[in-house]
Amino acid sequence: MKVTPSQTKTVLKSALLFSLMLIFFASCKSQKAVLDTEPEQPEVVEPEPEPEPQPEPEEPKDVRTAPEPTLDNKLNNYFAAIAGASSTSTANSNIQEALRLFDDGGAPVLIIIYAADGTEDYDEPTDITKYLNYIKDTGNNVHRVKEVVKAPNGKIKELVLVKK
Amino acid sequence: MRSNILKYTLVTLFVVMGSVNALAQNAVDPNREKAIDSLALEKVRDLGKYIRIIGNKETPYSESTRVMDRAEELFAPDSEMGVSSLAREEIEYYKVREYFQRLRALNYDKVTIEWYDIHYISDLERQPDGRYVGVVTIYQKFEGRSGDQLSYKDTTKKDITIYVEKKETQIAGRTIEFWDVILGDIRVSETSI
Repeated sequence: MKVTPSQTKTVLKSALLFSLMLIFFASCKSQKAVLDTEPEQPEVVEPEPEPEPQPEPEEPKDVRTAPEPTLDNKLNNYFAAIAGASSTSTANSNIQEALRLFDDGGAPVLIIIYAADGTEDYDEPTDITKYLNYIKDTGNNVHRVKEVVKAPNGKIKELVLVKK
Repeated sequence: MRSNILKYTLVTLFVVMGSVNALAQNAVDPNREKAIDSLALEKVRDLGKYIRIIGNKETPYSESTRVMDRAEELFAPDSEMGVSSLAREEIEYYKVREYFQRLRALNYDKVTIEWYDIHYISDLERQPDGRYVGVVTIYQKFEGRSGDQLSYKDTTKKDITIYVEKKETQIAGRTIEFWDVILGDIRVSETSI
């Protein structure tokens, strides 16, 4: 029996087609087999997330406070309160409060009356007790704090004032 | 001859330059003088307020004593205060401490003292020793009441001599130069109703 070239061609085509089909089916089967052979995954239990640290309880938002006044503002406020006190006893209690900011009642107070060309002219130095009483007696609130010198305990040990 | 002329010229030049330098050093910044003027005037105003507190019958004894101490510190030692009255011609003078004590002890129920129209009648002038001297005038209105009744009232014009000098003191180990204002005698120049 003689095989013609066209028959050979047809056989080859059929073989190719068969091979392709075989590969296709094989792949499908193997895929199924893979699926079948895969062990059942145990139910994954997600670990509970670590509890986040609770934020500090916030201060009530409806309470507003003025910013803490600086030391020189505090002193200037005391000067104004003493000068404008309605009675001697009110002025005296303000003086006592103000004195708590100082190392002692004898802390020196320098008052600059004029400054030019890097030099400063002073009034006669006094101490804080006398100065606060001066404000009380005269009602003069004409100086503002220029410089504060603090002792190691944080209290004022020297005060420099200047005319407003 | 020529060398002598040159010598004299140089000497004259040095003398003139020295004088100019000395004058420049003595010249005071007018703004500084203004600040000193105003400092001295403020001390007089303070005295007026102290006198009002001392005279006020409502001032506690301890407070008036403290204020007397402050007021006395304003004066030169042995300074005197003139006191006049519409009832007599002569003016009496007391040492300032004694004046304050008499003022506190005045026999009225209510005493009102007010100082006003405070001004220089003689500007502060620099003296050869470096001190400044001037005179300030004040008007004092006095009222003494017994009960609701006005017992005595007058207005006096007083002249206060003021001395200002530069001093120095030690503060926390530093030398501080300051202007010391010292009040001298207070003389009565007019008394009226």
